[in-house]
Amino acid sequence: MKPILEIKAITKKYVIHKNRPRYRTLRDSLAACFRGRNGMREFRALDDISCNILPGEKWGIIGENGAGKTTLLKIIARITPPSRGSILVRGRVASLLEVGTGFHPELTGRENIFLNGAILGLSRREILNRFDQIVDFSEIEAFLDTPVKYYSSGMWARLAFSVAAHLDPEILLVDEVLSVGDADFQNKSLGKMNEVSRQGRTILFVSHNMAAVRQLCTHCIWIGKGRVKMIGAPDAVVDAYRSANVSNEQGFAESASFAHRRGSQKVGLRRIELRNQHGEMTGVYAIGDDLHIHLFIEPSAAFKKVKIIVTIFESDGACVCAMYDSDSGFSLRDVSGPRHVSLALADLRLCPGQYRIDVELLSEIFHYQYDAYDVIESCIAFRMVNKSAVNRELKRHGGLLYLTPGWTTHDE
Amino acid sequence: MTMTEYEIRYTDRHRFHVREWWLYRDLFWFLAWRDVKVKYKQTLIGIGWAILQPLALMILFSLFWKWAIRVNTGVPYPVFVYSGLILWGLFASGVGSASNSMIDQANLIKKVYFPRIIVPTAAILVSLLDFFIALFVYLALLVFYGVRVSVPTFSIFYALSLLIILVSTLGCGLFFAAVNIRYRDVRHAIPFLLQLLFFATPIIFPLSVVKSESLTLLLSLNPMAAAIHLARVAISIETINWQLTAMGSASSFLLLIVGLVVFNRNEIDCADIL
Repeated sequence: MKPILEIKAITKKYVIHKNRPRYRTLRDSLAACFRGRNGMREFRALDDISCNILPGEKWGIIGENGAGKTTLLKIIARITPPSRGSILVRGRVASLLEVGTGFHPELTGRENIFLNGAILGLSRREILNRFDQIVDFSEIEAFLDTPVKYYSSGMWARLAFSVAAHLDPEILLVDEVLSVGDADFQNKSLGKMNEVSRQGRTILFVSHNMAAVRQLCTHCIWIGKGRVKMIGAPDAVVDAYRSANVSNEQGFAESASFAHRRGSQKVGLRRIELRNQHGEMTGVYAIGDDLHIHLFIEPSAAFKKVKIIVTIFESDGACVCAMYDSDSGFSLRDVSGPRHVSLALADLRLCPGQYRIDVELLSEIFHYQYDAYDVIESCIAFRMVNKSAVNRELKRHGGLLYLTPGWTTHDE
Repeated sequence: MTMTEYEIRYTDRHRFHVREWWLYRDLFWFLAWRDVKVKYKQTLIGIGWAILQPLALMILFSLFWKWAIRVNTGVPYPVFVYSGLILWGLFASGVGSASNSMIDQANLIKKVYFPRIIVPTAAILVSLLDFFIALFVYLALLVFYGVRVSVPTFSIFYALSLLIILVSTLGCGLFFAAVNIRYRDVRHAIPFLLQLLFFATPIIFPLSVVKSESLTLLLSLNPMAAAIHLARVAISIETINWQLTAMGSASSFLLLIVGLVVFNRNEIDCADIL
C-alpha cells in the first residue's frame, strides 16, 4: 500500500528579529539596510522530519509546547510552506487547528454552518447533504437562526465541532480540539473521533492529552525541539516521553539549561532550587513533605518592582496552580543587586506523578498589564512519590490532589 | 474539491494555480456573501449607505464646485459628477478593502489553507455590489434630468469602462494587499494616495479642462481617467479619445499583472508574517 502522506526531510526555519514585533514598517526595513542583518537569529522550528503514514493509520503527535507539533500540522495543511523538504499527499486533507475558524458572531448558526463548512473545504452541495446530521449532532436546533454572538461558549464549541466532525476527508489533522465544551460533549467528540477513525480515515492528532493519544492512536511520533525523538507504538512513545520529561531530579537548574525562555532578561533567573523540610536539595517528594522553591534573581540594573508568578503543571500539561506573589501579600521591590526569593509550600498534597514548574518574572507597566523580563517554561521538574504516612495505591485519574480531610460522623 | 495527489514544497511560488482557484469558488462566494451580510447587519439604513455616500458627495460638489469649474459639462452638473463619482467609489472602496483584507482575515489565513487570492478578490466583490446599487440611482438621475442616451452606445462604453475599473481595482488591490502583509504603512498610505488620485483624475472636472499635451499624456497612464472618460462617452458628453482609452486599458492590465505577480510571490509565507 502506498503511503497517504510521505513526509520527506521537512525543515522549517524562521528568522527571528530580536526585540522587534513580527511585522515591520518600511522604516524598519530601511534602517535594516544600513545596519545589516545583525539583529536576526535563525530558528529551526522543525529540523529534518521524515515519516511515512499509511492510509487508515491514526498518528498521535506529542511533545512539549513549542516543540514544533503545530508547525508540522500547518505545513501538511499547506498553511505555511516548509523551508526545505517535501510532502507527498495522496488524498484530501482537512485541518482542524481550531474549532470554529471563520465563525462570525453576527451571523446565525445556520449561516455559520455553511460558512465554516466552506472554509474547511466542503462544497455547497456537500454541506447541504450533511446539514441535518450536523444540526442533530450539535444539539442546538432551537437556536439555529440566532446570531452566534448570543451563544454560550459551550454551544459555540458544539456547533463548531459538529461541522468539523462531518467533514469526512481522507486525512484529518486535529490540534487539541477535544479541549472544548463540557465533559459530556468531550466524550461525544472523542466518540465521534473513534467512529471517524473506524471508517478507515487517516488522522493526525496533536495533543497533550496522553490518555486520548493512547486510546485513539495506532502510531505515535514524539517531537522535541523540532526533531523526531521517537516513532512507534503509542504506549512506548508516551512512556518514553513522560520519563524523559523529568530527567532532572537533582532539585536545581541553572539558567544555561533553560530551554524555553523568552523576555527581555533585564531581570533574569540565574538558578532555581527545590528543597524539602530538612533543607535537602532534591527533586523527589513524598506526599506531606514541604516544598521550598528558591529563586536566585539577577537584575541588570535597579528595578522598582518585579512581579513573580510560579506555576506548577502536571506532566500531561494540565495546570495545577499558578502562584502569584501578590496573592500571598508579597512583592519584590527595589531590586538593585542579586536577590534570593523563596516560596515555602508546607504539606504538599499532590498525587504521585511528575510535575514541572514555570517561572515568570514580569514588570507591571500599568495595572494588570505586564511586560516579560524573564519567562521560563519547564524551568525545573519534580516527582511526587507514594511514600506517605497513610499508604494507598493511587490510580491515575484519581485527581491531582491527595487530600485527607477531617472526617466525622454523628447520630442524626 | 478533489486534488488527490500533490506535493508540498517551497519552490512553487512562481506558478499560478488557476485550476485550484476554480476548485475553491464556493468559498469565494461564501466569503463575499458573509462580508455583505455583516456589513449591513446592525446598520440603521443598511444598504442605503451604498446610495447615500456617492449621493452626498454629488450634492456637495454640485453646490460648491460648480462655480469653481466654470466649464460646459454637456449635462447638468449633478449627472456629470455622479457619473464619475460612482465609478471612483467602486475603485476606492475596492482598493481600500482589498488592501486591508489579508490583515482582517489573518485569523482565517493562519488556521486554514485555501488559495489566498480569494480574500482580496471577495473583498472587491462587496464593493461591486454597492456599485450596482448606486448604479440604479445613476440611471434614475439620467431619467430625472432627461439625458438622452442611446442604449447600445451606453451599454458598450459603460461595460468597457467597468472592465477597466475592475481590472485596475483588482491589480491595485492585490498589490497593496500583498505589500500590506509585510509593511503596515500601507494602511495609512492608502487613504492618502486615493485622495491624491481623486483630484488627479477628471471626476469633478471634465477632461477638456486639461489643455496641455504633456499633461494629457500623463493622464493617459491613469486607468481611472480612461474609465471615467468612457463612462462619459457612454452618455455622449465626451467624444472618444482613442489614445487615452488605449493607454488606460493597457495600464490597467499592466497593473493587474503586477498585482498578480506581487501577490503570488508574497502569499506563500503570509501565515508566518501576519
